[in-house]
Amino acid sequence: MTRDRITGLISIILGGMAAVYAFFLPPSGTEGDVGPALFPYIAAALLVLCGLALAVKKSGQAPPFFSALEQVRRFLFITLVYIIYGILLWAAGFLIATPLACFLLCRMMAERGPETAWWKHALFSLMVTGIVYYFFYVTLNLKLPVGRIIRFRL
Amino acid sequence: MEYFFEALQVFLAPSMLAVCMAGGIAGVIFGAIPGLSGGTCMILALPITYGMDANMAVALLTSIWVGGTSGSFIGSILLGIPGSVASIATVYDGYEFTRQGDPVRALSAGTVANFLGTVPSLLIAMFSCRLIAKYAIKLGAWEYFALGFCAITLVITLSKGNMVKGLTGAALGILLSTVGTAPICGTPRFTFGSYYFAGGFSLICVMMGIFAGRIIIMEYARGEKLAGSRDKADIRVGGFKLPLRDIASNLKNIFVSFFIGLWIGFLPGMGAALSNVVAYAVARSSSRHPEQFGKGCIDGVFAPEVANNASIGGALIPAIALGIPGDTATALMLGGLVIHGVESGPLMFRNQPVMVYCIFIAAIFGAVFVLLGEIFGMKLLPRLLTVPYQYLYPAIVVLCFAGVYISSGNIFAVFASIFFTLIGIWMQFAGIPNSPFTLAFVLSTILETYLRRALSYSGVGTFFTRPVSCLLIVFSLATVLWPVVRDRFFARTFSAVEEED
Repeated sequence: MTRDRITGLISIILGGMAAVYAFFLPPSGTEGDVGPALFPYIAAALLVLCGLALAVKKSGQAPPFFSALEQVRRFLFITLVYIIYGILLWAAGFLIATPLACFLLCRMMAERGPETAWWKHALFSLMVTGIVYYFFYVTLNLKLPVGRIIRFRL
Repeated sequence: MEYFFEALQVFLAPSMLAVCMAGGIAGVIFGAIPGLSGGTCMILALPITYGMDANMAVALLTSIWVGGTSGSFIGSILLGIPGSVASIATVYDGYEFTRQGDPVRALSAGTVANFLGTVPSLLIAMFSCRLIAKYAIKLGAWEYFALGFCAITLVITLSKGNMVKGLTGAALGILLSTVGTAPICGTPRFTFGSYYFAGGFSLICVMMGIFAGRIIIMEYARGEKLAGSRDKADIRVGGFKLPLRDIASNLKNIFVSFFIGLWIGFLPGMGAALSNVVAYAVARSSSRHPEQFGKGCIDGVFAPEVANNASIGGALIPAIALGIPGDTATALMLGGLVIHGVESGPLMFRNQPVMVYCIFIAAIFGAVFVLLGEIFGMKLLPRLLTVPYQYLYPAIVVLCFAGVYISSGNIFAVFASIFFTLIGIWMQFAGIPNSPFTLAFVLSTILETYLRRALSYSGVGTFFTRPVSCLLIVFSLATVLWPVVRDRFFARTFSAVEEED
């Protein structure tokens, strides 16, 4: 199946789901108003129409999105790191989650570059965490995540 | 003029000057690094503006934008890889100078060209905005809907030869913007009874995912830049040399490129990405020595660099006077204004006139700092291109996650941003362009409000009985339908000619 066909099918499914949801939206209480379903219907109709156009269109085989299995593995791994970072932010807060995630990301990014000592990455991770915390939380007085399970705040 | 001087007084404070300088330099750095661009820097800076007053926030975002547009030529000249799409055409001749061992001449010309494009375009925009806003205040819901509709359709028609995908991107943007409370009636849509969905997705959350988050995932997965950027930019650059002779021999080229940039910047969705290429093509075709283009001709550096920066002033005209952003950068800037409770558009001139001038003055100061930074820091420019991605990307991820959390105050937004990262990757996989998506996402709520308001006042017919809205809607439909009709027409003509042969 070509990329366009996959995109077309996803668009049709998305558009269909949006249309079904919009159908059950209550009408507006404001007199003369066309109601809240108008824009979801417009988006749904466009998605379904474009999806159909993409699905039926004849298109050649595009080069693979990832050229090797290794790239797929790396893609899945970094996505997992994003998710784990999000979970850690929720569970342990910014001050614990960030140095860990930053260190891991530094090590991952350095895989293909020049070899760098682990302690440099560890130091950098602590510095980034400290600078972001100081800038946002202390200087600008903005909230950063505090852990739900491990509550840690300076 | 009193508002102008009031705004100028605001900007003479050392803190404001420092913000303009920091924004301009940060923009240049992000603009120079291939793959990042000033837009990414603006996205990362949006959460920082939460802790600032509106004037300072505007100063930061605007100067980043100016710096980002200017900085992209550094990669074009030194590496042959443009920092962003704004300097694609600069590669053709700019890189030749580096190959011939004279990068300073191209860098100096680019630095001056950036300034010559930015500041006059901002001055023109500053005066024309007021005139347009005076007229725009008389427009109704019909015209505003038509304007927004026109902006989106124009962007769709520019979708790299595939309008269906542009339309899909716009539809996706509209659909995602409908999540949350509907305008006018306040009905919850696509909230599934969850408190987190009620406010909809914030601009920061979506942009962080679609742009910054996606870029880093894809760079890591493909690992092209991580493999070694240091060895590529092993170039020695001397100090700035004022290119007076080059400027004198390019006065007409600069003038023409300036107006090309200004006009293309004014049109929705086009901006610096297109203007630099068009200006280069015009400069080559109108040159007395077109054969020198592509072999290290300084005209080929001036034309794209003047034009892409002149687009800044052009893009500010509809964004400020009408409240209609033409591209991602202006959408982000207007998003930054909304965060501080400032709504752009003609009423801004009446309600917050000082803020209007603050935007222009910030851009002018930003341009001055960028010029000074590039002049005095020219020897350091190759260093920007040896950036260690192993440090840069993790820091960007941390800033993204912190920024998304700050924008909404809950961890749900962080996961929503990861979801948008995956949507961004799907869009890249499918070849769906970002601009129609971004513009539709930003404009959709305003468009819906105007459309529903217009329809509740009168029927659909009023859109066609009011001349301005009729003209804009017909023009928009024509731009969408024209390529289809043209292809059909030419296909038939060509097949007829072939049959005759």
